[in-house]
Amino acid sequence: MSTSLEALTNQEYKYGFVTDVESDVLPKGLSEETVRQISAKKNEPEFMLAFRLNAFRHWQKMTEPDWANVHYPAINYQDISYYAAPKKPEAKKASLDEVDPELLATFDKLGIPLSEQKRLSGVAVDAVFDSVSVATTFKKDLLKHGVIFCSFSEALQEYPDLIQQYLGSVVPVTDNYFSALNSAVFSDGSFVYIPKNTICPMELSTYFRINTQDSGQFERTLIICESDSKVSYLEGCTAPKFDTNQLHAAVVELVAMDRAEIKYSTVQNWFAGDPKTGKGGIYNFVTKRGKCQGESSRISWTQVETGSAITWKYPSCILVGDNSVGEFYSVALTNHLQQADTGTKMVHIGKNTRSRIISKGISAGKSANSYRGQVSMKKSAVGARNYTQCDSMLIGSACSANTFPYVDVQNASARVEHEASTSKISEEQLFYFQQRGIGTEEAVSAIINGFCKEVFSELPGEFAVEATRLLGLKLENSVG
Amino acid sequence: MAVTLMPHTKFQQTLERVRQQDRQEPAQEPAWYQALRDEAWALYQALGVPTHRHEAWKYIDLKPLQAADCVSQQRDPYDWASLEQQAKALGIHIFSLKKAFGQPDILSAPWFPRIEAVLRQTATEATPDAFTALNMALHADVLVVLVPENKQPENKQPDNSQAENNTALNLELESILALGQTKETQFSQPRLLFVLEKNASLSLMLDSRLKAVSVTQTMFFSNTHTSVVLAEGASCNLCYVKAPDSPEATVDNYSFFSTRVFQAAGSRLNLSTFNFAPERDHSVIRQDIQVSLLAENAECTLNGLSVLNGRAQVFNHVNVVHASPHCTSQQTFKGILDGQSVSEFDGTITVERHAQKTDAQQLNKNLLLSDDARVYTRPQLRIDADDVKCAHGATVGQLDDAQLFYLASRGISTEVAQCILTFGFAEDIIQQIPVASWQMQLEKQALQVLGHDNNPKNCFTSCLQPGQECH
Repeated sequence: MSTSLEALTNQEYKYGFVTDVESDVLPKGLSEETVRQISAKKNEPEFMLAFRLNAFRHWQKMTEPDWANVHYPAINYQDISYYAAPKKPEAKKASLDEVDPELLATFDKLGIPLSEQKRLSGVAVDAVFDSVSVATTFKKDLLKHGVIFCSFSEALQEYPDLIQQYLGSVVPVTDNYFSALNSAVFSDGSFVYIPKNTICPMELSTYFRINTQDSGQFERTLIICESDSKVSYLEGCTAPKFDTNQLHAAVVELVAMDRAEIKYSTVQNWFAGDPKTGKGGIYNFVTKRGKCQGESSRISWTQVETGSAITWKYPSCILVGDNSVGEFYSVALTNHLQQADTGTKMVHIGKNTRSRIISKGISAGKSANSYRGQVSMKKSAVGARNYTQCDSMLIGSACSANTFPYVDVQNASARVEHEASTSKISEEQLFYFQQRGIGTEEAVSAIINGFCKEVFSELPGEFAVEATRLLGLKLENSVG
Repeated sequence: MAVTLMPHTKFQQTLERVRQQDRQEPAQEPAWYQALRDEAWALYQALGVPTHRHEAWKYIDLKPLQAADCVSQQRDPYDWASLEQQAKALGIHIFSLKKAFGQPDILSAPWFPRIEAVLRQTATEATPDAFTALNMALHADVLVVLVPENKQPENKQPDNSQAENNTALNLELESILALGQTKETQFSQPRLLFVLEKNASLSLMLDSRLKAVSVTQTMFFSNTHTSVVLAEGASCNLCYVKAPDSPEATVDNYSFFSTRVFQAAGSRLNLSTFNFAPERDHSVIRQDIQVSLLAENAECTLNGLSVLNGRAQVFNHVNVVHASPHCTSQQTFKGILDGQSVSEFDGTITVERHAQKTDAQQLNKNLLLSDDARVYTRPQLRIDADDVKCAHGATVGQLDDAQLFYLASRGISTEVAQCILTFGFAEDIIQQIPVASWQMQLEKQALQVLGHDNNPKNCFTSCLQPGQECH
């Protein structure tokens, strides 16, 4: 690629500031005692502590997975603080006015519509700062419709039965190394419950921010959608710039009952580490899985992954109910020294289940971008259908793009199609734009947005705009 | 790699016995060759038998093999009298390496240093594999085929590759395997080396007819290794056929085939593999093909067809490495699965950093005819260069209802329609064979294993074939 295409990515990470709030931080290290302390701090019911301890014991017996196409120095799990919370009085604030103004300013800077005055945006937000949820907006309005949207800690106090019933039902504690770790030490997250026959009146959103150095963030999200209801959920993430790596090991569980629909969208923009040395940045090791429990239910994952030093993430669908549908739309962009190994798993169990995977990988700089996906058609999945398309785009000759699809079919009536292609932004394309008076940078942005269009069109309104801008910024000066 | 060796398995005992015998009677092998064997044996010992924890061996169950009581190994040099005659007429060199080590006229031939260099080069591998190491350590003999520079088939234009090829050789792999009708478990590790010098060309069919053996506690294990070295502008057509020698045969075996190809500038390779397994077949076949495109404008076409029934299992592992710019590669693998058969396709296109302008395609299509059959497919891309055209695809499905309806609407019974469509699916691959006589043989075999040949209703399929009469 010509030098003209080599300069478009040196945009500074603009969310890299640290907020000066006093934090309550647990000393570094992980032991059974830490797990008990976290549980005690949150004043959790008995079953929760048992769940955590069970997970911790399993975790101790497990080994860190090494099959992903990512490389990083061994993580010292004893050198991480497993709990960090902004200091505040015991009771959760009744209104936003009581929330630490520093915190509000932070979320303002990040552009999160925390303040309820911004009703125009019409998005309910749960903001998670380090280990705890600091504010949830529109709670009352939602409750009127029977929708429960609150932090995980609150849910544990108020709706322990629901939690006990569903927690770990999609991602069991023994599932994998990072989910076991999360199950043992997770500190907060969001909880959503949509009752029967309810269409959630607004978009729900969580905003995650890691603020404290050397702390890990382990959040847990649980969304339950009862029969004939519908919800759309957004998730965004940022972190300050530190030159040490921070671990983010979240678990997200979705449960969809008969004819329920869950749409889960993520725009991930964690700090990716220093562009030149690769120092610092977030290790984003996340387990996300949805279970289409009921018939004709639908779970749709949309992700735009632009940040993190390392992304290791496979949002999956288990299609148990007959006629259920799973979807995965992903744009993963890596630049500089970033590494991403991401994809999905579609497990077809019910009859006539359908799934669709659209994955777009863009690698620039010296980054490595891998798609890893599995489509499994079990014997019971009569008439199941899958379509997978994963395209990669390479910008510059120092990056790499890999595709590792796994297809396993045990059923003669199932149909699986997989296709993938690799392309680059060609001189001809750029020339075409230039002829029409459009500069290289804009041209690249237009080409990339065209490349990702199928995914962006799945994102809810505002997010789609944000994602388009984000990609443009991320790639600034990497092509030019 | 954390592998536990299982020295107490019967399989391991056999290996150790064979190794012991080898050491006691070192034959005429020179010290450098013995050293290569020792190195490979040490590597095998270090790697151990792979388990399902190894990505490349994930779906193969090697337990029955480990427990098998392997008795005899073919230890005598290969006898190639008739083949050598044929070769002489064509002006190419074919010989047994074991014999050659005792023949001064071969050892002093001007081309022998080249063979020696290639033998050294192909003895070790960049990515170690237990079974290729095992073959290197314990093979009884090497069949060497050398086609000298500019050796072109007579009466044939170099670019007219579709015509009947005069240097087409048929090797019955069976004679290499020395597989007889014995009740004892057979154990063999043939090794083949094909060297094509500048602008030379060769067409070779390796037909391994697996003989019927009695079912009870009989296991046959073969581990074949082929190295192909193509110099500048050389062109090679290779065709592997694996089928039982009669459709009634019950075959219970483990057959591993590893093939390594090294291609220089402008060389061309057309490699096809066919696996035909009828209803009573219990064979486990693993093919591991690795092609390295080492210099510009090298081209390779890999085709595969598996028509499986019974409990047959075929595991295809393919890796095409584009190590140089401007190379083209194409992989097309198809499977028709019935009964309780299993097929795996694990194909990779690797494009190294500087291999710009690569054009690589990969396709795996499967026709699943039974609910008890199983398909695993893993088409993979590893790309480190940005100016490349790479695409891959995989499908698993059934016969298309619309196509069946189309034929039905023209008065063709469902049975015959299914026949036409499955055969058509297979025919795609067969027709890419550059040698017409091979095409005919393979069509016949495909029809046989699809069970179409004996049915008068299906006479259309016979009519489709040249040179055959209608029922």
